[in-house]
Amino acid sequence: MAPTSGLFSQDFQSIPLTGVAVHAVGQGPALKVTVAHHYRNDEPQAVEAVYSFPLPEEAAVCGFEVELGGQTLKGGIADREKSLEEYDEALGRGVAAYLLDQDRPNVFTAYVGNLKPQEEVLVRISYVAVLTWLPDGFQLIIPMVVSPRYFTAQQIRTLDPAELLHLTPPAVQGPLPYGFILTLDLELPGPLAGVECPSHPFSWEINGTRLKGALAGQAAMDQDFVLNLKLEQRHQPFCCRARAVDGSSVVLLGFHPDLPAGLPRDPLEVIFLVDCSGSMAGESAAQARNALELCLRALEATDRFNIVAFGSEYHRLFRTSRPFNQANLEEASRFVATLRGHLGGTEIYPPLKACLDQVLPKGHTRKIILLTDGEVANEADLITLVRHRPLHGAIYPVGLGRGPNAHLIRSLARASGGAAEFVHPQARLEPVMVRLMEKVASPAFHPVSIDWDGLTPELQSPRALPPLHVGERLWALARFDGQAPQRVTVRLELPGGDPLVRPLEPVRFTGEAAQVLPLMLAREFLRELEDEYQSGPAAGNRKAYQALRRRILEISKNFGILSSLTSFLVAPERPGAEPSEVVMRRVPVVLTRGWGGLESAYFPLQPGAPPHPSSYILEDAYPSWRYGFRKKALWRRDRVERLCLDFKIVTPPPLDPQEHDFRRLIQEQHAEGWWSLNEWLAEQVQTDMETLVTLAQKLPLLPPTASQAVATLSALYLLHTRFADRHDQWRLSAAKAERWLETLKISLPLITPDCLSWLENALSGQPGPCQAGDEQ
Amino acid sequence: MAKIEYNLGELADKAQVSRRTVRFYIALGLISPPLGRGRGRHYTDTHLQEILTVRRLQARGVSLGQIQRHGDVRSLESSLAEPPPPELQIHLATRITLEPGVLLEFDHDTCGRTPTEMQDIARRCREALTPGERKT
Repeated sequence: MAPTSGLFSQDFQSIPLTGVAVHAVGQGPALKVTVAHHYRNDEPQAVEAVYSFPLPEEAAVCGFEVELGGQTLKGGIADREKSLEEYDEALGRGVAAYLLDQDRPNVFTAYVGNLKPQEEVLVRISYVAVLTWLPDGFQLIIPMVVSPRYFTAQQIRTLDPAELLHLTPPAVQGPLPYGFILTLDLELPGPLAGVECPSHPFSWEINGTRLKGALAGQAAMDQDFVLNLKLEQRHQPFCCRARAVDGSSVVLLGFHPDLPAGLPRDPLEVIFLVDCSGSMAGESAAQARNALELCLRALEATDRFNIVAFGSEYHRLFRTSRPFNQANLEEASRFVATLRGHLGGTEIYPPLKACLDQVLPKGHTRKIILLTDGEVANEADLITLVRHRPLHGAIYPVGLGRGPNAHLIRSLARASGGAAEFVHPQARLEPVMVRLMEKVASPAFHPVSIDWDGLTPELQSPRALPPLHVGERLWALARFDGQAPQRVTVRLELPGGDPLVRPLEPVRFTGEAAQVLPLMLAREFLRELEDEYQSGPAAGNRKAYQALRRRILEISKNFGILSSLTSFLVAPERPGAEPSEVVMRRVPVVLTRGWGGLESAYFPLQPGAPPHPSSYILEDAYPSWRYGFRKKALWRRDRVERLCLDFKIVTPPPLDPQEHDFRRLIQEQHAEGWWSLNEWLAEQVQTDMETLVTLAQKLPLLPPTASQAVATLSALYLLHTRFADRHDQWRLSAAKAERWLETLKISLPLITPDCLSWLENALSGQPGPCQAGDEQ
Repeated sequence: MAKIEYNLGELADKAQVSRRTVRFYIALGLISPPLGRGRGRHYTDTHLQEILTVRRLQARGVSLGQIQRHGDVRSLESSLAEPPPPELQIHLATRITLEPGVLLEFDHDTCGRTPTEMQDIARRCREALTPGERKT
């Protein structure tokens, strides 16, 4: 039997991967990234390294090069199965060969075959992508982890074993001898106002619109790299044209419309679908609870809502959605406080289907907010489910944790006409959730159409333009083989409003970035085809399915980008090579930091029940898992981990007082928008209850309403002064409170330094606008 | 005549797994390595049977790690083989108590009586059992 246990030896001497280097170069929103894997064989025999790693789901993988003995060998694209046969045949003849597969749009596997003893090889993978667009800037996410996934019982029976193995690389907790370094050189569309890297120690320098930066040394690959870039000025619409190598033109359009003010808000049915599977235990579950608390308070009295917690099974807060009022809000808050990573596996399909298939309350629009890390392997089934129910509810997934499955999260949003968000545990959750709730609550532009100067593009992505939400940008790519459009007109329809029509003139895009556009278009187009292909052949439509397959292969080969049906292969001839035995080494990966599934992901919910059938996959991926499912065995496993793998339990730091007070203030807001008067609130505005009660007594209102008005004004004063810098986190709460005050004919005067005199002014009816962030 | 030598693609297609799966199984020592060297490498029906055995074991929830530790897939499968469950026999019958300790049974497979007929027979039996009328 071939020895494979060497991977898990304590000193990790047998891991052939020695390091990863990432270099990203950007121009405008376009990005070209090179990921270099350095391998060295320290064993006395020839080895084959098999390494599964993540790349962004939107990445167009366009380059695969191998540097060996001073020679650079470029890889070519070919059919996936044929490539493997050639690769295997090369290894059988004793020559080196290198293969790159796409297992999921965001998970790839490299086969580095026939590394002779002491041989070193550098494998370079290049991809193009775009920076993730944010309303105030951009976000760069470089995935670093392939987190353990949950497989449904059906998948265990039907998935190809190699696919399972690719998706579950051996995972260890604790340090590995390899890590990654990262360098960046970005030329941005405008000057930067701020740079934030919540994931890693990162140093940078800004020169005008150029950002150069690097990681402070080698970092462990236990979480994704996240960089938030805030621009000084807001995004401008842009339209650029690039000429591809084959003479065709590719046009890229980016447009961020403002939503007209004063639009009526439709009553919503908001269903919060919360992942409580084992992998969420710990910081991801805490993120989900905080997110829920914030979102709930952004609902309006006309809305209905429900919360569904899911794992191996699912539990609804209410049997059907209920109106948003204080009693239901309090019940929901109690339910939210109980949510943990306590429900075992990650069966998203049944609760999602149940939510989509529920009868929609009359006069309401359904929105589903999905809080999850997305660590499942049945993405295709879920995307198909949503695609087949286009009018049953838009999904707004929020990716939580340090390595969420971006492919699932983005695909569900795209397929349902919703919008996706990601929150790193060390980034601020509140602004993201406020942004999300604005998208949920505001009407979207729909339909969206583009007039390409009367021309019909050869390829366009997205093929069907999705609804455009507030705070989102329209992003479209099109290819023209002949004449290119000189003028592009965007038309956005708004329910109950005038259409927004915006003509744009494409500007010429030159330089290396121009080569990125055709590849980005091909990748986006391929992704849509692959989503369709993964859904499987429709009944009686096998011919169309085969045609789809041919189309994927054609685009992948013509553009030289990787797809699910193709592989990159480098198989150089080495005359005189002698066949020799080659031992496979699967490269272990570090378990995602904060991943909570070790204790519970596959554990039975009922004592005595058999474990989930996919537990054995985790056992294969995670060697110490095999100690079993009994409590004693768990204790033993835990002990072994701590001794051998330097296992550390990280407890979250306590909230700082400012954060604590802010959260309390937001959470004490009543469903209708007002606050109750209490000692704590009086203390926060540096006065006492008696003074505030006296103020309330002077008002020509009934006693409870009068004290609520005083309390609400006090809370708003606090938000505008002490928490002024968190305007992006409280603007929805404040807007709701102001609407409630308006019903009492109370408006906010300009903020003054003295709270009491300001309160008196407000209550005496002195008019005057209050602007966000106004201070003394 | 059945072909007894396969290349990697043929073997994978026959076993209905991917080519990558065959290679993984070999690397993990779950199935035998190919015969021959270099361009002459090939597989036989033995490899095919080994793959099918691993798939059966996986379908039963046995992990690759367990199979790997055991070494021989065939002996592992035999050791796990459970006696076939006893054949279920369904026997439908109607029983009517005539008097304590005396039961009348109608076998549904062989007796084609209706419930009314069964009740009628039971009534007549009870009459036959009535003291004083018992015949010797």
